[in-house]
Amino acid sequence: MKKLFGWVTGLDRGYLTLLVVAAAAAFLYVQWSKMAAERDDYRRFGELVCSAAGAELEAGTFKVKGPDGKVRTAKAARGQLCAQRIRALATYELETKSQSAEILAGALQAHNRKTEADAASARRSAEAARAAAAKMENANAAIGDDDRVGADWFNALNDVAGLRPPPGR
Amino acid sequence: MTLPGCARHLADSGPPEVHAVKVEDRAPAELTRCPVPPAGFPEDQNAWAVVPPAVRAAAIGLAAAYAEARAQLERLIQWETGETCPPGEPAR
Repeated sequence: MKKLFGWVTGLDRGYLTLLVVAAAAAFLYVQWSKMAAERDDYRRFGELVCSAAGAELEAGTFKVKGPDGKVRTAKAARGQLCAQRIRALATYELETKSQSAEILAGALQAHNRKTEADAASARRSAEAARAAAAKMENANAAIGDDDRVGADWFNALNDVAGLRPPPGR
Repeated sequence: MTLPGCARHLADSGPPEVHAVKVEDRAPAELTRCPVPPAGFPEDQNAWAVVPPAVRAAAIGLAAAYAEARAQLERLIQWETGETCPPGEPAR
């Protein structure tokens, strides 16, 4: 062993130690620089996200309503306001979507109900019109050559128009 | 770095509350009023006239057109309000 490192003597050994320490320090410095750069990147990203959401990343104050109804100012740690805001936005999106879906489904159902009711009404009025037209045809055919029309013909005409005779006559 | 002053300060105004809103654009009540039919022709013994065929056809056409237009209007009112019009009482 002594033979192997025999050439490392005195001053040389001191230099070698210095070299090893310097290398370790350089390694640590590089690691730290990377971490610092990454930290700055995340911070910038956080600020970007928070300003897009309409809140600040930094610590600040916010107003809360206490149980007694008074509005107080409370302190928020860094990121708390921003997280709160983003949570509120996510909730907002979710609720808006589910409410919209609910309203659309309701509108569709209402439309179907209306369509069915209208089809029934159309069928009823068409049937009434057909019956009245048949009755009118018969009454018209019963008119003689003198072209004199009477109560039956007027009754059929009222049916065609969907009218009733005046009361009390 | 972002400038804090440039951020929209929406957090102070609290979470947004209004979500989806159902919009109903209803026609004015005046437009959805059920039509009141007039009284028809009398149907007693005094009701008679001499009406040539062409005039009879015109009268029948008018009556049918009135019934059709009224039925359509009542269907439209039902569509709009969801309520059926009552069978028309003749106007006094």
